[in-house]
Amino acid sequence: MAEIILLATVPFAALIFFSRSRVLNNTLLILYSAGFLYGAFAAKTGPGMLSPYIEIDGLGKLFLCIMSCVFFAAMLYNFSYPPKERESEQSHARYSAAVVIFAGSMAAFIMSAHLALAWVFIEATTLASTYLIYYSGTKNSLEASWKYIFICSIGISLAFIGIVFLSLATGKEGTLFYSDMRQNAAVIDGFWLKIAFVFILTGFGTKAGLAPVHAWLPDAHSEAPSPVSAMLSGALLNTAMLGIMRVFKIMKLAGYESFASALILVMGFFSLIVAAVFVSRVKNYKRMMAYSSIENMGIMAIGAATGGLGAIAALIHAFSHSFLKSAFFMTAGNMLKIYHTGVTAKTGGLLRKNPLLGWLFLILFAALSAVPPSPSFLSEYLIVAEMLKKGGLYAAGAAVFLLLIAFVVYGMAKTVFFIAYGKDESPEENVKLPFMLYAPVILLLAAAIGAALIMPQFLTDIFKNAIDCM
Amino acid sequence: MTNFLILLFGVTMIYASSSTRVESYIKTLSFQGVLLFLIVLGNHTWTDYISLAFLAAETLVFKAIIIPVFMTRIVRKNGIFREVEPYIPYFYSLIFTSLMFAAGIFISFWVIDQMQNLRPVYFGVAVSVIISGMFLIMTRKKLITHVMCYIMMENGIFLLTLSVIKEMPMIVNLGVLLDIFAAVFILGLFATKINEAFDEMDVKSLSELKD
Repeated sequence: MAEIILLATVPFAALIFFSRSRVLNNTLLILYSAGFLYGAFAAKTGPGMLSPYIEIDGLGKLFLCIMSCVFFAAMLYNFSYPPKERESEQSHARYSAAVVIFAGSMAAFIMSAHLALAWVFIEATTLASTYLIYYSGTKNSLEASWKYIFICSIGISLAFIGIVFLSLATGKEGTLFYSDMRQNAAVIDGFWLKIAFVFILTGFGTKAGLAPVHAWLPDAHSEAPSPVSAMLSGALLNTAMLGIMRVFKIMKLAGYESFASALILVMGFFSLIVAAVFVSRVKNYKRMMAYSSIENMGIMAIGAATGGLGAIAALIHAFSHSFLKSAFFMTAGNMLKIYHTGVTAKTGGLLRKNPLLGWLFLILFAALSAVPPSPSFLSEYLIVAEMLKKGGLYAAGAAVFLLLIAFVVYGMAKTVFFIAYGKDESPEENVKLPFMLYAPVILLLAAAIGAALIMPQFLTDIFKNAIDCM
Repeated sequence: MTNFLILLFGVTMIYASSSTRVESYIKTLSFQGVLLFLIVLGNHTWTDYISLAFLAAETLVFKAIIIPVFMTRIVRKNGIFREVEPYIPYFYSLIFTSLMFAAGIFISFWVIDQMQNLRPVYFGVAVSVIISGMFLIMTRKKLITHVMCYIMMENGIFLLTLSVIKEMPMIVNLGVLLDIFAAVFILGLFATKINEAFDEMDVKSLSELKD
């Protein structure tokens, strides 16, 4: 089923591109994302109709489910959120078609069973989302989209160099299918494998927003229209992280786990440091959220590299961060509708202006700061537990980890509390927004918290299958 | 013969690093496309004629003709000042790329006894071209030269894929090709837009967003 939706991407995008009705396009987008949602949860792991290149494994299914949930919610939000004022039907059609291609190529990356083919799709995500980031047409968005496409293209080129090295490392008979590489991991040439890993980590790390190659992320996230920001943060970053996890698995099987995990840990901790330093300095609340995304990607990387319980935590954190952060970006979109500016200093008094939005904003902040019962609490707790269990340098790492997270939360709290409680100059009170701008936020929040509290059987099964692939 | 062409391909980067005009970058791109075409033709180990024809078309039609024409049009349309405007003197760029070229030759000698399924000269020169391309991106101010140096770097990566005797599957080759051309055209269009919005195509104008 998921494969059929995937194949339908291009015709669907064409259909949207040539239809000139805004309502029809938005409805088609919701239909397409609902199809994805169904396809992801109904997908069976193992060989499918597009084997051997496109196959869903346990890990892929989890990420596909997360991605499709975020995509569906973002499209619900998109229905009543005009991405820019005074847009023509034609440019809206182009925007909607780019959204479809963007989501389709992300799903194709998750589902592809061949590393080089996955590269093709992750580059396609860059190309499709550049137009989305540029969409508002301002000078700032132009700058952000230029930085995004250029930095990501260079980064992804580095990943391709790594893939060429990896194809050297696999020898004459080996292929670049993940399953093949996992089976023959013992005979892969160690020297070239290590070099390949460094390049692939840098390349996919660029897309995942890991420091020091995160430069595009705050700009792109803050300039994109809010539904797109939600998808960038909630789906794209995860997708790239999945690529890193898959190559890390091969390193593990080849016996270079300590080498690979050391590199990932360095990038993870550096991301936390960058987020902790910059998040308290930012003057724009969407940029604040973007730095929080860098922090969360760092946490996922650290969890995956720590292994054991940490690997489970990384998956839980992927789920938690995607749901909560995309909801957070949607509240930012609502705030843009109220304040008409992204500058934090010109906002304030959100609780008075729009109590529902204010409370959602505060609750989402608390959940992202890992206040229980948020699933982020579970994942961060598990990472710290695993680090303490390993002892030695890891135990010291756990202390630094907690300290840095505390700094990030402090930096975010400054902005968040200013917006919620701060003084507000404009006299207007009780700004009304359409209900459809709250519904996806509430849905995502309820799903994340509900999953952590109830843990339904089908969800634990998906997680179990994913952990088996780690 | 092929080795000679590959070395010539490496030398084009030295030419690019010392040239002062945007046009000579475009000429370099076109020349590199022709060289890659000849290198692909000279590769007698290709057994699959479809992929051989495909690669030949890619190099000759796209790399040697379409992209240079597209770049020339962008330069003409935007009335870009023809000087390259580097951050550092041309002499230093020249020294760096020459050193990289020499290092590439050393790498080729070194990989001869390392790997069985690798063409050493291809590999060394490809590495030197990729590093020189990144160096040129870092040291030039104009956005349009960034795009051109990005294409040079992609040409180096193309040579790197040729250096592996094992072939990538056809579907991957096709996808990579599509991606890179889409990226080049999007970059070109955005460069034009930036020129319209900022009246100059310089990295200095892109410093509004920061913390």
